[in-house]
Amino acid sequence: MNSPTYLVPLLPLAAFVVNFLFFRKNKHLAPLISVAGVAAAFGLSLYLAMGVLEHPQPVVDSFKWLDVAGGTLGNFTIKVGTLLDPLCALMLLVVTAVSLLVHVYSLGYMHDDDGIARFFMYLSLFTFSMLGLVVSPNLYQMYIFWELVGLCSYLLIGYYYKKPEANNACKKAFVVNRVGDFGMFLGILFLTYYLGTSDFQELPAKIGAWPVLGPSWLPLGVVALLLFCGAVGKSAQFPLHIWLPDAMEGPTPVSALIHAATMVAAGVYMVARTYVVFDASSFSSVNAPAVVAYVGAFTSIFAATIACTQFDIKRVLAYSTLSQLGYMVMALGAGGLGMTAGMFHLFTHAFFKALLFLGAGSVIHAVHSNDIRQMGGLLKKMPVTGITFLIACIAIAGIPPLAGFFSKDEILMALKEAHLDHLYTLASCVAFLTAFYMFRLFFLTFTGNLPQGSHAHESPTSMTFPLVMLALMSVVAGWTSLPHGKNFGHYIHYERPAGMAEQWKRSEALATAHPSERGTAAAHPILDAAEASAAHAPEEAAEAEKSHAFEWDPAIYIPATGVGLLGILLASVMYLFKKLSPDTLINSLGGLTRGIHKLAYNKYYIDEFYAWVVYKVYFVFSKGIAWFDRHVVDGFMNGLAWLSQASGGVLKRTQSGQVQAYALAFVLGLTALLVIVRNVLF
Amino acid sequence: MQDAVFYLTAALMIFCAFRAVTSPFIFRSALYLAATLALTAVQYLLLKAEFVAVVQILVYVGAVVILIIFAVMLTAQLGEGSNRQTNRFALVAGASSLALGFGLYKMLTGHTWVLAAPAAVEALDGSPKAVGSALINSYILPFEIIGFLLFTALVGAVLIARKEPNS
Amino acid sequence: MSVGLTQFLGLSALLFSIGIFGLLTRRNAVGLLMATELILNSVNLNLVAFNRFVHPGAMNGQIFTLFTITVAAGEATVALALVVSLFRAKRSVMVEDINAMKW
Repeated sequence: MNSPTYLVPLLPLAAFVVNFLFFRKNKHLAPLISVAGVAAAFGLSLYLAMGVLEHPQPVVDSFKWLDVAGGTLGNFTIKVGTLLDPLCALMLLVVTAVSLLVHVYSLGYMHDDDGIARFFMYLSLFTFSMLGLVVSPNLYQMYIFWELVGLCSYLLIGYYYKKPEANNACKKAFVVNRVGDFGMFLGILFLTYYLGTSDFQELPAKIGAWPVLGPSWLPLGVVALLLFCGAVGKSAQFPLHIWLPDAMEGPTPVSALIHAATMVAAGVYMVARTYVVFDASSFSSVNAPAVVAYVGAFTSIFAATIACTQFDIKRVLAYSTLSQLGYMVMALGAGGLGMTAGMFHLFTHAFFKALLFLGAGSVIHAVHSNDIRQMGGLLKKMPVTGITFLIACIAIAGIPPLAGFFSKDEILMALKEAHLDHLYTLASCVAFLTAFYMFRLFFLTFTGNLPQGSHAHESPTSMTFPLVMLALMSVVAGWTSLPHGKNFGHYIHYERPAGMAEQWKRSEALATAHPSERGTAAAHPILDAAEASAAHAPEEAAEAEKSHAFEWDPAIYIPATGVGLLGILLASVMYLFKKLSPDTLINSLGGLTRGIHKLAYNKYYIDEFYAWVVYKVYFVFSKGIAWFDRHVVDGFMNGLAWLSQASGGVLKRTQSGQVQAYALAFVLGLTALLVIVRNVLF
Repeated sequence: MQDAVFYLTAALMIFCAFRAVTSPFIFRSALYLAATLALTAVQYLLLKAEFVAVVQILVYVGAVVILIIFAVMLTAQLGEGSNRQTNRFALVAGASSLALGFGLYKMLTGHTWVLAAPAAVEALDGSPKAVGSALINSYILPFEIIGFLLFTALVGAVLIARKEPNS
Repeated sequence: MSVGLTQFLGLSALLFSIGIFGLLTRRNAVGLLMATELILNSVNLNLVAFNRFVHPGAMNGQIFTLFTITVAAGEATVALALVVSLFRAKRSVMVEDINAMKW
């Protein structure tokens, strides 16, 4: 082991194991051990990240796990180990930092819970799984941890296992995730089948050298889409988004850690990791990045409209998370710049979304209700919670100089650069809606009059301290992308493998060329590609260096800030000064707006649609299958059983229990053997 | 002379053996068996295996047959003849066992045995002294093992035949 | 014709057949035991005859016969103990009454 990266996931695992073996019932020691584990992991991540800032070159540290000999593409090995590069270091920092703060917060929030030891055990296990996912050097290891985080999510959503809603929600989350994971696993298998590797470090070279890359080549696009299926499941994109709002049945710190800041970002992270596959597929007949962009964009606007109509504080935040994840995914679809922007938004969003959830938890802790209509005026009673919540709202609304402003701007810029103009417009609308619903939430919760008989009070320090820390991060996190020497984009960016575009051009030329020329030209594609890449390498590198430095364009950031302010303004008119009643707006255009509101309020009936599909379509189909199974398959099996029983009934007569009958058969057999083998009788 | 003794003894042996397996009286069977075994001893003498002949008489006729007679007396009434003593396989069993014996004979005689020179055959010494020295010298290990086996058989027989303490 | 190996082999094969016949047809367990002794006896005869006519120089055949006789004695002891024990349990020594292994 060359680097101590592998220790980062192992520290929380150690905490989990110790708690599991010795302190399963210990309400005082188990939380402290978990906190210690994640704090150590955070310290180590910080140290590693410092190192990465100095030396951004990837460090791979792995050993062979499985040797698969003689596949279609020769031998290939599955490795287990760690890969430390800027992308990984960033995720390590985000995960350990948010996890640490959530651990500390949970000390206060879960203080009176009987299952606190179990809760911290799960948290440690989750942190281990997520860190293992982050350091994975290949897709196989990533898939293992991918499923592990899914399991932890299941356990934590179902933490209040006596509540039927929690039970249903955790099952729903698990099953819906499995749908996406199935596609992802198929994608991994296809990828290994075609390229013979799933190591992130080897992918660019392998794809760059792949001889048949080009518009006619379908499989890579399919692989990219299948991988994206996994991201759709884990990052809760439409149409697999339905599990995330229900996941709010889990304890609030869990919602903050898993379902807002870290685990749901795993899908975005995975796409960023395998971005070369997506990029290469944009050359093929399946343009995966476009699909990614449109899925993200749709989820983003779709969830934002729902968020405007909900009254459950955690649900608003859940749909806001969906919307922001859609934002990141949309950015991923916008090329190399978008990948940087998406990861950057993931980074900033983790802080302010965790802050929002933890603040919501603090509020729920104080008023014992989730309904924002029963809240109000809490700013005076809970100043720390209120102010940090306000900071988070400003950050997510994209007002400078807070974190959300920078990341949202980069996404808009990337969309503009990629000439996705209608998506750019849509993203601006989402930014407006985001500002609106966040401030609607803030005004309804923290301003106005306190409800009658409220005994709300500020939360303990263990809960407010993480809020303050996260608020600090929400302010400063965005500054990392300020255009000076080595900013965020310098470390985290996507470089198209040398020669890939060159090759694409050639294969396009081939497609139009005369068929007789094709054979000769295709004979040495790798050689040619190598020559071409050698010739163009310096040029392309310079181009790449330029392209991942963002240029500040007032034409983008002024309107972006403007729509944010507009959203805040509308929210304050409606909910702070109460000059405009929501009902007036709903009824403004008669049936049309009323209908839209009803649709959004009922989450576009997606759950009902799925239920209809399952209960009506699927059940009718299943009935047919069941009939076939009962009568044809079972009939065949029963026939077989009857046959063996009948033949057994006949054959059992030979087993008379009479020793001499057996001996007679023995002697007869011996005689027959003598005759057959030695032919002695005749 | 020797040939005559052989054929006479052989004929008697076959008759006694046949009666031993077919007699309806189990006690008579035991006596026919004793006669067969004793006649075998005569054949051993013809084959110049004097010590083996003596052991045959001592162990088989003197011990095993007596044991069998004891068992007969312990388990059945003497003169029990009304019970059929053979089962319904007689015909098939007779045919197949004859075929098997014939097959064995053909197989054994079909092989060309390298016979020893007549002088050497005549010089065979089956006296107790010769057999005893062979047992003690070349075959000492099997001899000891057989001793142990007999001991085991003795213990086993006692254990099996002993009455349960409770019943 | 002078008596040689062939005659002894014939005699022993015939005794063997008779023993097998008894083994297959006797109903009495003691009878089965007697048939077994006959079979062993025929084998012993074979061994001694081979010793004399094929390997007169060595004692192998005779020694082996001695061992067989001894083992047969041991076997008879155990088998008869079994028969006695069986008789006590079942009040019968007819082998067709022992059919606990039946289907």
